[in-house]
Amino acid sequence: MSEEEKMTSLPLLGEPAPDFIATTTHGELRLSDFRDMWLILFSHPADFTPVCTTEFIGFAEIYPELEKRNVALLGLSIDSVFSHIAWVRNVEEKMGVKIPFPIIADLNMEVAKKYGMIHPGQSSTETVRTVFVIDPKGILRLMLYYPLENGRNMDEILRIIDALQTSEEKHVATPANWRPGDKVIVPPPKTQEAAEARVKEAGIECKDWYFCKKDL
Amino acid sequence: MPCIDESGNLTESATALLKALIDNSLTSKEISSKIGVPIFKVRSSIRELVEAELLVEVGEKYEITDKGLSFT
Repeated sequence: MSEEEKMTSLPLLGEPAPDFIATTTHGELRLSDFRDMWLILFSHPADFTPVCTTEFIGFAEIYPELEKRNVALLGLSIDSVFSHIAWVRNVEEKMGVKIPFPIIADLNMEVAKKYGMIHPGQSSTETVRTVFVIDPKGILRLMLYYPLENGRNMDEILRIIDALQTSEEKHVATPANWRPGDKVIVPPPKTQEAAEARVKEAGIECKDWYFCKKDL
Repeated sequence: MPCIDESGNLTESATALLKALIDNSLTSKEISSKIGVPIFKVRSSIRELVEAELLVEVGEKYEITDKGLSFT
């Protein structure tokens, strides 16, 4: 695989997340350290930049809600651990927000390349804004990619965690804009007989045999 | 190293982890609950403390060593 191919290779949903051993602001961490819990691995372009600072404040704000959901946060950028430490101290001093989660110092871009975080069309020296959700078994469940210019929406990150965990626990799908408490999608029947039975089924709301919702 | 500084002193969190094991051996999950530190951080610290011979792994649990006791 050429160097450029390595930089643009992407992990795939439903497959084991690429393994790593990384230097972080909380010491050496490995992907396996996060087994039995959900992990949000996210990258930002660089320390001491304004959009990233707003995002870190945003991630710190949702951190307690993530903890309640058994979700860990792990940041990453191609900066040194000293830069990360200086930046989080600066954010606490100037913005009054303590950053409670670790940040990978990925100076050799090893983790960034494994996760396809470097998009040369945007920058070959910075990671774009990515979000990877990895489940307690180490399987990659979600990927989001944002450009350098636009910060992420923390509300959506919490929403999709709720949706992923609900799908995992209840074996259902969730419709567009789903929020906890909303009806969920009943998986469509796979046979004609099951389709005929579905529309007569009590306790579910069907527009047609393939489009049924129910309360959890 | 986050558990042991350049002077050879244990960090506050590493000391808390060792103290949690003075009376009985515990699993990493039990240590996490007892000291209120996320499991991923406990696993990372345990690796370092085992390497420094302050802890030993016995089955699924961890025990403090005599060397570890001298740090508490």
